[in-house]
Amino acid sequence: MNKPLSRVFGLETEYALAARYFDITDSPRAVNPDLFFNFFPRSHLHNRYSQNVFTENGARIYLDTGFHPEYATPECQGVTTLVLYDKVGERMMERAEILLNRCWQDRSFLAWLLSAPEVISSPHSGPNQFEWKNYPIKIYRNNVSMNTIPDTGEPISWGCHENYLASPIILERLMWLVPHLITRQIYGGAGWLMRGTDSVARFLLAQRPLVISALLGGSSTTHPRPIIHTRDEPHAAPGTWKRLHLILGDANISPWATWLKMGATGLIIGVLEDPDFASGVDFGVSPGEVSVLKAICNDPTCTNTFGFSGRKHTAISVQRFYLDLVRRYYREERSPLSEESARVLQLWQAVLDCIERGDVEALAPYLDNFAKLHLFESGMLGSGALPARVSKGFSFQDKVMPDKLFYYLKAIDLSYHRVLREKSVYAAFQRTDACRQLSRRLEGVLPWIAGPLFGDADIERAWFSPPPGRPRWRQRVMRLAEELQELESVTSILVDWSNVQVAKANLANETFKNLDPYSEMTDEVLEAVKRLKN
Amino acid sequence: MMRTVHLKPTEATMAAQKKKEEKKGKPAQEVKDAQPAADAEQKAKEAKEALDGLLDEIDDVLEENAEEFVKSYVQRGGE
Repeated sequence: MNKPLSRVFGLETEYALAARYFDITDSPRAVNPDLFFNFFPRSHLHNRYSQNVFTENGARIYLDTGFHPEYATPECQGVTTLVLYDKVGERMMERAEILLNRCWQDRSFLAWLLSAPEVISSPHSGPNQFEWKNYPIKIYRNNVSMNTIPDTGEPISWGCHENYLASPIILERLMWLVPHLITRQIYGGAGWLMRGTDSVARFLLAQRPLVISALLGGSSTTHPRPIIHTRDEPHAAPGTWKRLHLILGDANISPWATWLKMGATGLIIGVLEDPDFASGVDFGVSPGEVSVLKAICNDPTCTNTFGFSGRKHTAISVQRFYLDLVRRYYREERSPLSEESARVLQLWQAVLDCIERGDVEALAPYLDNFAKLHLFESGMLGSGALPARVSKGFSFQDKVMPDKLFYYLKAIDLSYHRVLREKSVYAAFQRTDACRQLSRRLEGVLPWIAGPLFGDADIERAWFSPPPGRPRWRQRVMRLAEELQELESVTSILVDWSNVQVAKANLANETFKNLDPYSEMTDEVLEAVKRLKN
Repeated sequence: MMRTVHLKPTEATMAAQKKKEEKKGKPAQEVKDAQPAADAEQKAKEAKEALDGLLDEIDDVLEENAEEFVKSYVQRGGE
């Protein structure tokens, strides 16, 4: 059986560039893409007009459908590494926002940037190619906007896709994972405040369930959007590995939410990969029961029951089933549990306990949906819309909400997702005494949660240094191409996850391949390095 | 080659944030032993202070015109 020692995780997050006057029917682009892509630490050997580049740390920056810039983390071994590299991507977007707006405010800065010949020669980068009316640009990390699809009224959404390297057997057991995926939004959702045409307000635990309408699907990632996308594109040795691709998750702001959501999912996949253990996990979910995803999303109390194949469950009971499954597996198999995985299990349990007790305020410092619920309640208390503190914070659910209050709370909701920390409600909340006081409740149970997952020094290192595994191989090949350029005329490089093509002026192009996501070096590259030295 | 922009990853907003923390960051207040009534009063006072502090901090980052800000969050669909 092929079972990865440490699971390889990847996360692709599409961001939203919000322009001041963005006409979605007319304007082809909110910002000048050449300028935008130059703000990321990519090799100068990438084709200069390319809108699909790999950065020094092994991540990919790409312009996705609907003009959403996407940052895909490098292959990360372990969920803490994954969250670190994902956060680096968010900081890169923050820096891009700052620099874009600096170009707008300070034309001498722009002139200085454009004085580099490569930029001037780009067909899109002339000084007249900037749509200044769109500025200032704001970048957000979330999954739905305020406008809807004109004909259908459906929400407009963009994705946050998770990848897990797994054994091929996982493909036969996808339906065993589905109940977990449907219910994990109680801690993995980013929260969203909505108000219908009747002015009735509704708090949703997550954003993506609004646009997910199938359990499994192999073709479209836009319409219909499935929970699990079954395309067979492992970016690794076919037959040995599969890449499980989940497209139902929210782009979390809190690193703890991503950590728990993907850590728990990775541990369950680990159980399902074992052919001897995982019998009896089948809840018998039928395709029509994808509707449960929306039902749970609509219930911030997490107490409503729903049926899978006629049996009654709650989101908590399903989550407890999977938590026990993982615990039992590690106990019975006597497999060593890494400290990271042990902590994921501890937080998982503590979160379920808090939700079950109704003490969701204790989770506000760590989980996006309950942070928002707390902020909305605080906003209502402060504006006098709530007479006294209520225990669960669901006081506005399904009630008419006047305009002024709605726009105030909705501004908090949206600003929670700003990547610019100076303007981010998440960052503001984290700075407050209120947040520090609430953190003590979970710290009482899990003392280690008082320390951050990583610090600013880790982020600075991960900005340029790839994590262990194939990302280091890619960086080595990019370096090799740069070294080759000094001897032969290398014109450009074309990078993908498992291969790098080095194009030369004499057309003797070289392609390097690496189908092992754990491998940091290949014979091909060693030989090329040797040749270079001789 | 494109010119390198000399700005460290975290430098850009750190300075502004640090300034803010100096301005706002009051040390968390310890709960002191006291008479039950005084204790409850102290707790209510602390809760009020925490709420006011939270709302101040949020108001600082919110845009001026909430309705215009919210309505302008318009996007095209992605994946």
